[in-house]
Amino acid sequence: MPEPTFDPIRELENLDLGGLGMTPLEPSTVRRLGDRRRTRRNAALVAASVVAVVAAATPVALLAGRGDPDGAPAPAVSAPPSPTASTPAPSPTPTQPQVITFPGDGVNVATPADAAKLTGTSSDFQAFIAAQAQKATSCPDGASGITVRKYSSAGYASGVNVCGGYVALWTRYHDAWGEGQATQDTWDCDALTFLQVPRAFAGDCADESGSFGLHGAGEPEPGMTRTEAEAAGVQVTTDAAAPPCVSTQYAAPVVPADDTRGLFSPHDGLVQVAMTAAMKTEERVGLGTPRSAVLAAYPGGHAAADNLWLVPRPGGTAYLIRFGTDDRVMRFTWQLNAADCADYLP
Amino acid sequence: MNEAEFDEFYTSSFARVTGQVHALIGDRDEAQECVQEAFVRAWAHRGKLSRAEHPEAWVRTTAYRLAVSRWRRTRLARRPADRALSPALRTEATDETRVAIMAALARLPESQRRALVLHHLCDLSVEAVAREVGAPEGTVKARLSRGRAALAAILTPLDATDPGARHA
Repeated sequence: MPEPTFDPIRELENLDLGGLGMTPLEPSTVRRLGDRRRTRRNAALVAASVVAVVAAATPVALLAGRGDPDGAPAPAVSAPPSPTASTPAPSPTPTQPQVITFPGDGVNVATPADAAKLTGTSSDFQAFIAAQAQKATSCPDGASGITVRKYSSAGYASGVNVCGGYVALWTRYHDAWGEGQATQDTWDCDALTFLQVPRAFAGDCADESGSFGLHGAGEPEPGMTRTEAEAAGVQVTTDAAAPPCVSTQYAAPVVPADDTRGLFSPHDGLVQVAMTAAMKTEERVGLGTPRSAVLAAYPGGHAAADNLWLVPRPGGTAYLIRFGTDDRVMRFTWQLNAADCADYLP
Repeated sequence: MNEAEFDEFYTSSFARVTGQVHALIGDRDEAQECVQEAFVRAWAHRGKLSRAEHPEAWVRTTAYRLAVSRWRRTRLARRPADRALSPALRTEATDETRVAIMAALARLPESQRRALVLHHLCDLSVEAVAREVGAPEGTVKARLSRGRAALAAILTPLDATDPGARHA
């Protein structure tokens, strides 16, 4: 009698997932942690509402003190009466984000210690700004530091970048702060939608043309060597998740941080480049662009799946555009059909 | 989704999703941590979860992305055996098979492993796999085909093919 054949697929299908050694939290604990996460964005609400009221009266004294972004009001250096004692805070509306507009030109952060002047903002935002401020050791024209002008507890802020080169919109996307937009004139409307930053906070916007997808525009493009990719702001990592290809990431803190990885092949160079919220194509397509606009911009494309639009491009490359549940672009990659990375390219 | 619905969803799917993510990433402890975090986020974003067609897929995808994101950020190498509560210490026959399957899956390219686990272990259709991984159906089918062949090559006992063969 022949021995039964070992069928790996049948074994996989019948794999006992079991519960060996699992110690899940109680459901009530999970819900409590989730509730805490929902209200964490409003954790600075009380402090911010106090700050906003007091700042109107004593801006210099307040901003000179050290803020506790987790809720305690900022003690001023010149010791005015405690805000909670002499200035009753308005009752916070838990669901309404608190907006802080810093007076004058904003708060300049030139050293990590300066981040403490961002009273009322969250600790992770202060850490992010401190880290950015550390990156520029010298600037042309002596304009050093980052200037924060406006902040919302909902997870976005605006100001001027290190060295004063452009106006920046920073956002917390999937629990990581990054630079969502950078401009010398107006924000991009599609990007504001993608970043979920309301116009009431950001101000004017327009849908402009960009340079993603253009050769020789100084942005990352398929076929670049490692040196060229690094010069264009892309880091080639050494992770072996996709051998022989490795993943790439942007050197700067972009948005979205967790969905802009690309691929690099030892034979073909940069194989896949993913668009950030600050990029757009020449046809004005970027993250947040509605599907109808994408189809109108690239009628020569075709549906690769329910939520994917594939657009052949010159040089054996293609755009792969993925739509989210809101029928807007959520991921846009420009990729080369490289044999090395075929298993890892959609 | 109210509290009772969430609790029922959580208790009925936690072990299964953790097992699936374990198969996807090859690390049971990391899988449990990421699935736990995914359920916390699921409750925090229960509005989205209620609107999702497949809540379990939402949790699994979130956990998987967390695991990949954390792995790429910290470059976790394989954890030393003495750190893991290794099921290999248990010598039951079914655990040996599970260990062999998991080890074989870990040797596959990520995209093939993910396609095999979602289709054969999570019992998703090719269409559903394509939707979850964000790839065309044709690509998913190719990955399944190559993945099955690779898995078979890794797991087929040598004496079943050539009794005289030696390990390389």
